[in-house]
Amino acid sequence: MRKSIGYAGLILEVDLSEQHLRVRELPDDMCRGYLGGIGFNARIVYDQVPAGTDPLGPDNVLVFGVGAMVGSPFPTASRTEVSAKSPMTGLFGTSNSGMFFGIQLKNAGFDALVIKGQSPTPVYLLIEDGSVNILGAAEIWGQDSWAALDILKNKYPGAEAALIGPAGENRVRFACIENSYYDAWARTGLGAVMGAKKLKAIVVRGRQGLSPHRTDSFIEIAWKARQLIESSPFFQPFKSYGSMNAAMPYGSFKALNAHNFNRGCLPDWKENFARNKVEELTKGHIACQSCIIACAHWVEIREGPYQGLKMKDMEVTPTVSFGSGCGMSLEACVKAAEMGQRYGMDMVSAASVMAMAAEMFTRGTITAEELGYELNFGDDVAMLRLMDDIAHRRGLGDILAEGAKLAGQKIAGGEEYAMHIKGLEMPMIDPRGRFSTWSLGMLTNVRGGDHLRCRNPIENLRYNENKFAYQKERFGFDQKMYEALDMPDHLKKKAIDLEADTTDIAIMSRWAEDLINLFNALGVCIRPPVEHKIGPTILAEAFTAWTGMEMTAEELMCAAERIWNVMKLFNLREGEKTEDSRFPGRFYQEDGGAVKLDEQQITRVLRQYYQARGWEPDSGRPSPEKIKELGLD
Amino acid sequence: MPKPNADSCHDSLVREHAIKTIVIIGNGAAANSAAETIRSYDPRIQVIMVARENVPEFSACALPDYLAGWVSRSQPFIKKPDDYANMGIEMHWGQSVQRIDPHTKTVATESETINYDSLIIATGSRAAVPALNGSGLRGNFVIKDVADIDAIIAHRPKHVLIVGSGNIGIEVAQALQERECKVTVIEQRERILPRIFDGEPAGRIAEILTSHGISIYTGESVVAIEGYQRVERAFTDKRAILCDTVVWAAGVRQNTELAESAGIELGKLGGISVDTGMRTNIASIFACGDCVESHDMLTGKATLSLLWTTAKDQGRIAGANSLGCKLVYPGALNLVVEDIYGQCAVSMGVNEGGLCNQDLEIFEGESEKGYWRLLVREDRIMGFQSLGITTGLGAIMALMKNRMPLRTVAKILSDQGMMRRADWYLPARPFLDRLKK
Amino acid sequence: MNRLIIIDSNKCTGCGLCQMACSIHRNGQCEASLARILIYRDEKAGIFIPMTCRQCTDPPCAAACLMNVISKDYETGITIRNLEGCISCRVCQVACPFAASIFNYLQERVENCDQCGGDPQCVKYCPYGALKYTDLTDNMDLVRDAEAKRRLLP
Ligand SMILES: Cc1cc2nc3c(=O)[nH]c(=O)nc-3n(C[C@H](O)[C@H](O)[C@H](O)COP(=O)(O)OP(=O)(O)OC[C@H]3O[C@@H](n4cnc5c(N)ncnc54)[C@H](O)[C@@H]3O)c2cc1C
Ligand code: SF4
Repeated sequence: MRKSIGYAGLILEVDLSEQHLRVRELPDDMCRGYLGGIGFNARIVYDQVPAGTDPLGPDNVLVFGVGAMVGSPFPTASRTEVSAKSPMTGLFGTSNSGMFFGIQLKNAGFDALVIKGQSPTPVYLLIEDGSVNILGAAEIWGQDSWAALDILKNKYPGAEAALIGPAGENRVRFACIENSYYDAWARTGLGAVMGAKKLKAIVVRGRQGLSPHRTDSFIEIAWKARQLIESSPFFQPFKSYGSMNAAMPYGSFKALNAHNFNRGCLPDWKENFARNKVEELTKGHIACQSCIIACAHWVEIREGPYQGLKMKDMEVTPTVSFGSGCGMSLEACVKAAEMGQRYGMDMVSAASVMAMAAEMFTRGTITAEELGYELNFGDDVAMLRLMDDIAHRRGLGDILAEGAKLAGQKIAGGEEYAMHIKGLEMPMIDPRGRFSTWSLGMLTNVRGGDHLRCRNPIENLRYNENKFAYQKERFGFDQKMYEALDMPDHLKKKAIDLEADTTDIAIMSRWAEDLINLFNALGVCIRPPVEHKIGPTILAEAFTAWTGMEMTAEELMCAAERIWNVMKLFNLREGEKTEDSRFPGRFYQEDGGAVKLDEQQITRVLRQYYQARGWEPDSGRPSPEKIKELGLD
Repeated sequence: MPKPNADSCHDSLVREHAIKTIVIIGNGAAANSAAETIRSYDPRIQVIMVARENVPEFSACALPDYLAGWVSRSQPFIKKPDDYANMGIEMHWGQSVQRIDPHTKTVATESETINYDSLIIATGSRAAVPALNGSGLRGNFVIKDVADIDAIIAHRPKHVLIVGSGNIGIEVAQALQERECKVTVIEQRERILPRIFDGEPAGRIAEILTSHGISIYTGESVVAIEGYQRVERAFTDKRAILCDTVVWAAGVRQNTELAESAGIELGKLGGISVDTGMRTNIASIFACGDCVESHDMLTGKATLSLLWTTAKDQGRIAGANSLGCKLVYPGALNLVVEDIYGQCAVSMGVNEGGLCNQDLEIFEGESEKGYWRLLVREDRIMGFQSLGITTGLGAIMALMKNRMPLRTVAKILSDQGMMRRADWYLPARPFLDRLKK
Repeated sequence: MNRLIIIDSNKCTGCGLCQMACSIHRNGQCEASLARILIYRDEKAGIFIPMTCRQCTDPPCAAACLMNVISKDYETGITIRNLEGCISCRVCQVACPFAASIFNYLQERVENCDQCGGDPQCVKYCPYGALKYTDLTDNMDLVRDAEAKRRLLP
């Protein structure tokens, strides 16, 4: 029987080697145990990818899991998680994106899409209201993602598409999967997986709407959630300024990746990336499905070499990655974002690899002869040229396209400039300038050097006082904020010490990871105003009213924890080691404009984190008791 | 398009106290539209309707749906018998007007004579049945009112021959196929829907119909019907077809005899000739609906529109002007929407045949949803036809009605600021993008 | 008292909440295609334009309707439909310049916005104030402004 309450009720499996389709019913225990989105992905990837699989081989499995609450008016419920074994880390690869792909896939009848095998010739997938076709992609293979999208959207009006660009086709390891024109499932190299499968695009169009189990109460809860988000002090700044909010405080903490993590902040950072500069280029907000924030901006460059460029942009991570990491101008960052999108490349990784190359060039590890041109920090033209070379695997670009870790191994003397954790390039925040829950999260993250899976819901960006205590960060809010935070009391007491005005990093990391996991399972966005105000209590109410499955806040958090543990178990099966959870060597040896990291202290806080997770403190492995408790034995 | 302005009409009304009684002949779309318009402008004036039939207003457009069994028998009726009285309209049921006397300003039925100050003739049309051998046999049908459908259903048709492939013929063909009849359509011209669609779209529509089992023969005419007491077979100039039922959908004839005998002029095409205020050549006598010959909004040429929307629109003008208003009819703009086995076929404006002009530019396109063609003359959209498409058409219709030069449209589409201001045209962009150059 | 939903497309972010609100409140189902408001999206120009029934004084849909089920409610100024009579021939859909006649496939009827009886949910949900529900008599300037914006300068 098809459920159309909350869930679409079906999982679609496509085997590209056999050109075979299978539709499975979504079992109830999968919904209760793994919720949706990242949860489905974790379970499916864990079950279906054999240990030691070549990430770019036919046995890797690419899963698109739509968040459980996507398709509803719950604020920001739009997100879809894509996962596979990552060609960057060899571990669990996963990435999350919003816009309209998820709602279309769900409305087309599927909560998850599982892609296996490898097609002999380029193909694309057309999924429409329950009908699925594998079609030849000769017309769009080789096209950049915008050109291919133009063709597809013209052919299938009203459809959404996930697709790869030349980078994915060329198996650039950090290629991403584009989500329509301006968004992407960027991190961990999923585009290379899709490219290796010779799958150019997935076009979805659906009209079978979903119904809440209890309409009236769902409407009420969703409205309450909206009011909660709007009441967050982070809401207004975020609404008007988007994620670029973080660019200035992190600059002033000297906690940016300036010139490949050589310095905490560029000298003219404030002038070049200040609010008014950003505002000059932007107009209008752009939202994902059901979002009340609309953090993205429409950008138009009206003068200079990139005049005429128009696109959705000014998301902090890529902008700062290029701007601070490679020293590029704000306008060139927009150009780089355009290229990143057309070529289909993870911009964080690309920027990191480009910064690495610039540093190697500056230090003489590589030469202008090898590169074909000089590559100095701040040279916009050369940087963009390198980006082009990487996407098309030309010259040294071919080696850099392997990602920082592998390129560092291939280029003699290059390893020390590769700024990655577990094989994934680090984003633009530098733990030496500010050590917080966020920083620890980069070490504990199942997907490697990345900041998006752990973020303190009440992070206070005004303070950076206790930057090297490692154990705590400053809480800095009043009692009211404390009380309003949706977190079980016993945990909250442990996590936040009101008297000392501190937050415990290890405990908060664990909570934040699970919370974000919950968001990614339900398809809700993790933007600060949402993460701050929306907690398991209201999500449990909403989930119950939406799907008709009674779940309490504790049960939801338990499911989120289960998901995290499954991903960790996958990583351990693939050979992740305790010592992999380490920042690049530079962070312990150089001060980078701030202060060197203390490795022992970090090991200590990691142990505390493992304990908070109920894992074995020495090995960082889930303990047998934990595994049993989560029903994973 | 000029809008009826009740206030200005009332102003002129004050000066036309002479009008106290308005008589409307007919009970179709045009007649009812006129009556309602008069009522909405003036709640007191006496309105008398005289109609041949004994049933309230119905929409012929729903008859095929009733024939197919998709809707109930009561669905085509859009008024209830007492709606007239409730609106203060005097309805003289079941009376056929025999004579109009413009001198005494009276109309005479079999049983009574009625005085009028203004007269509106909305006598509509009837299906044309040629006088052929056998066209009087049992089993010959036309489709004009609910009783016709009742009769067809009672006849239990199995093998049906439909003569004519206009919109009525095509709808009836699908309806009877739904009733599990074996259906054959004969069209005299070289393609189906000749008045509505051009060759390419008509061909596509024919393909869908044939793929659903309807046999279509074009370029043939029926020459005789044979059978013992009832229809058994029909002959065209090319073949014999076994059938137990013949439905005549080969055009309609205007009901103009009554008007003609009163000295009212007819046009070249055979309809009652009217000016842009729906006035006939005789003072105080107006005409509207299927029975008149009006002009086409886009080409300005005389036309018999024969459409529901046109009848309503003309009725509105005739009604208001019969009170003394000075409304101007902008001309007939054709809009036909056909459901072809779930695919929406649309034709608006004029088709190639109606334009017969060398300056015609034709833009065609095809998306995965369907096919469309745009007819352009002198930088203006003259016609649009599509199959399978439902979005963006309203904007095309508006562009066509406003007679917007395409140069202007192209200018708008290439400028973002203008585009936002003219946002309602945007859904039509897929059809216009090609014009940009 | 005539009230109208006025659209300022410059403010629209394309979030689709108006459509969600409409379809969930009116059909109990979350589905853009069932909403009586639609959003014209031009992603590549960064333009999102909501379109809904403008409650025309002389509605082309009513003039076109083959079953005469569309009429004006002179008290509220709303274009109303007697949906029982509708045979879903879709003529009104083609006649509406704003693409605001919406085919509801659940009921097989064509519908237009009825302002939710005076409390339009789309307006309530719109987070950026692109939709406003205003009183015509009080806000003639706003109406004029919006109309002026719409009108073409040749
Ligand atoms: C089966 C069918 C399907 C159709 N489908 C469509 C469609 O999809 N779209 C579309 O736009 N159009 C369609 N039409 C055409 C549309 O129905 C007509 O254009 C419309 O009904 C014309 O209205 P009218 O009032 O002018 O004439 P009619 O409807 O013909 O009404 C004429 C009236 O005058 C009365 N009358 C005539 N002579 C006298 C007299 N001497 N005394 C008293 N009363 C008299 C008649 O009894 C009748 O009440 C269809 C028509 C048919 C038959
Ligand atoms: S779809 Fe319904 S409301 Fe629209 S024109 Fe046809 S009968 Fe009238």
